[in-house]
Amino acid sequence: MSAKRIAQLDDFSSTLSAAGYVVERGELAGQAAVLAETPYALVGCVEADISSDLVERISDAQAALTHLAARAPSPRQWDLYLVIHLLSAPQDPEEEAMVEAIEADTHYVRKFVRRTIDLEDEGSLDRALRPLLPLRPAAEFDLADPLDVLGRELREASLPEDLAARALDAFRRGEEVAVT
Amino acid sequence: MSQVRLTFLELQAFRGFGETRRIDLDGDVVLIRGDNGSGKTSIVDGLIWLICGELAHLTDRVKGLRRTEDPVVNRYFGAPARVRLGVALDSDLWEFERTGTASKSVLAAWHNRQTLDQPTVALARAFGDFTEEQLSNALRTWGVLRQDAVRAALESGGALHERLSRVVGLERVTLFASAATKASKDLAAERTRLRRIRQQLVARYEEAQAHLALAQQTEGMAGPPLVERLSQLASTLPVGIRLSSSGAGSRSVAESESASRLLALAEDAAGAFRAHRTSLEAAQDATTAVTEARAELRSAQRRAEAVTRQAPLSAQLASAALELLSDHCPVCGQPVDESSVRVHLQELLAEAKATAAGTEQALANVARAQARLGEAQAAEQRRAESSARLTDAVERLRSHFKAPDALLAVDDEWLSPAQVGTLAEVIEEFAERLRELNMRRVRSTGTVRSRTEVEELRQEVDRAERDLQELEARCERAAALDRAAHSAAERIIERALRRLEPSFAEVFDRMAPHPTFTQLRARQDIFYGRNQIVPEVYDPERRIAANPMLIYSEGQLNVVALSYFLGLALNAREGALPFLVLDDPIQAMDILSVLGFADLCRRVREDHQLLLTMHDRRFADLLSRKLAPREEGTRTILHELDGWTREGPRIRTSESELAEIIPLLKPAAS
Repeated sequence: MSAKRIAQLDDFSSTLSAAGYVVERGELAGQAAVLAETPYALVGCVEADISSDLVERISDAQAALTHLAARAPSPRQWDLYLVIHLLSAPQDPEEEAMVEAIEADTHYVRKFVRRTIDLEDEGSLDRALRPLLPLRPAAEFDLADPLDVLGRELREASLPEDLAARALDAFRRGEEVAVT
Repeated sequence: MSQVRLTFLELQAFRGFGETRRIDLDGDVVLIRGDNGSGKTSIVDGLIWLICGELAHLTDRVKGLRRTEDPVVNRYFGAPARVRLGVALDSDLWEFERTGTASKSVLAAWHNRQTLDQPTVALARAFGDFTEEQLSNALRTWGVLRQDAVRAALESGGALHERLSRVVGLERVTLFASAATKASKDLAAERTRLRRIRQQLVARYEEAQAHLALAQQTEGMAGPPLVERLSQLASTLPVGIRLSSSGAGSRSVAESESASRLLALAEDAAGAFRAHRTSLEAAQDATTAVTEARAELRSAQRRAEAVTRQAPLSAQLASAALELLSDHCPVCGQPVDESSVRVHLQELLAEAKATAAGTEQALANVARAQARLGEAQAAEQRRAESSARLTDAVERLRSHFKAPDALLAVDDEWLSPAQVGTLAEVIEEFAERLRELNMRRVRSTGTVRSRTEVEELRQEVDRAERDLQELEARCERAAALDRAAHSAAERIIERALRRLEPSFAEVFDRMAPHPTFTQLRARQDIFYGRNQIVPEVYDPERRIAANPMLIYSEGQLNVVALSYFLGLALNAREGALPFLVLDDPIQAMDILSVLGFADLCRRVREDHQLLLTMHDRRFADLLSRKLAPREEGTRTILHELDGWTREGPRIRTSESELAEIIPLLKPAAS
């Protein structure tokens, strides 16, 4: 089992930048932060440990983000997001409840609390930031002729010789599957 | 890149719309808010009816009920309903109009105000490289989200499988698997039929075999031929009786008419003979009886006459003397011995009485003798008659034996009344044995028929057996193909699912409806031979999967339904439509999910025109703000259905202004 590689703020910065955000490293209420913006969103990302003053620290960070948005008043003030990366996971139901309460509080800023993002877990950072990222391209399907794919699959089954081929031919001709 | 977009929808006498209402759709986001029953869904239905020509979900709703009204036509305004749609691509403008009723409607089309000849083709082509059917399918499958339909698809794994198959172009794979199942089932049904036929044939064969065995046993197949038996039979006849030259040697003798006639004559003669013999015996007895009866009669008559003459006079005298008797004679007066005289008179009186009784007996004897005499005379008469009948029977036999087709030839000495009884017995016995012989011949013929039937049935059973074996082999091959086809379809769909999962996550992760079951997947399952897709949510920390249908709330399930629908719609590839219609997608959702939905819509609008209906005013305001245009070239329209009358909904339209966003951050130096 490989060791965890916990995501850093720089990783957040790279991901958001790749997604079309204008990104800046800065601070929110004295906490190191990644700030990112598009016409639709102003985002702050901070790291935090589970602690008794977590709620207070997050409150300070969101106030700082709100002040930043207020520098240029616009409808975007409704679109403030704070991503909190917890470097340690909640240990008990009380801490779980605290995390839930932080996310449920949508006043001023929408808050996403993400728990110890391990970069070894492929796509974990994308998953954490998904609400802020563009839609991924549609899945690709190499299915020029689905019946060819089916034919290849059927060849691997231990069927009597030519059975599948004859049945597929009949089906292609618009007939019913005939078994002779 | 330019994209086809809907520009307006006009409705008249359609569903909840009475008077003509034109709804501006020419934005990349169109929000339609209204309370329940205000006409939101009529707008969505109008679009479906115009494109598909039917509203199957409404027809299904009243399936099985007597049709009382048209589901398309407005109840207050009456037919025809009319829906008109504007479609634009850059400066090209199309208009399509459907008028009519649910059962019959007509589509018309215009391109840049010029009427088009093939409106349905034009409609399909306006949205891409579609046929009419493909466009209808696309609209129903991923063009319009009706919450109830998507939820129903979730509840039926088969329906979700069908949707997914269409999206990834795998309909033919699943159709092939279904066709293989059908072929296998058809063959299995044919096998059942053939098994039943074989079973019936075997039963008939066994029955025929049993009949044959019985016939063979009865007929005694080891015996001599029939002619020989006939000769043997004839050899047992007494001297003077033999087979005639015409009858001997004929195989059909046993059933010839002559034999039947002879038998009838013999029976007649035998009957006459028996009757004559009986009457003869009776007559002989009667002859003796007549003689005795006549003598007895004469004696009885004489005795009767004597006692009849004497008895009454003696009795009268004795009786009178007894009455007059005393110790003196009543005539001469001389003394008499009274007691002696009395005894004497009493004896005389008793004797007279006995004589009277004897007279009665004598008269009875006379009557009896007369009766016996009558009987004897009648018996004699019967004898004479039977004798005559016997003579007639003998004559008939004699005539028969003289006939050219007579079965038997009989010497004359047999044809006397005295011999005819014996002759009749001989003939009867002969006829009886002839009947037996005939029976054997008939049985023998039946046995041959049975043997042929048994052989034919055996061949039929063999044929059925061979057909069945061949069919069994085909059934096995068909079943193997069926299993392999479903298994292959399962693997192919499974791979497609894995590829589609990120698309489901695109929606689900943004709306995050559950704190622990945070991943949405789809699981392939084959249930009763049918490929299904079962929704599944997953807790990555505890590594536990669950069916959201069983653990999620209504609002959370709506997120699941929306995730699958949009996940599939965004992957529709060449079958994708340029617009998405979501009819009340956020019902029962909480604020976090709605916020996530708003963020999602911002992304979806980049590639698709979005038409959203909702009834919650708070969420409509939120979406209106969130989806307000922030960049040039985007437009968000809000239609507020703020009341409904019989003329239709009252619609208030507003449009969000483009907001100026001043950048706050500086792009990092590369």
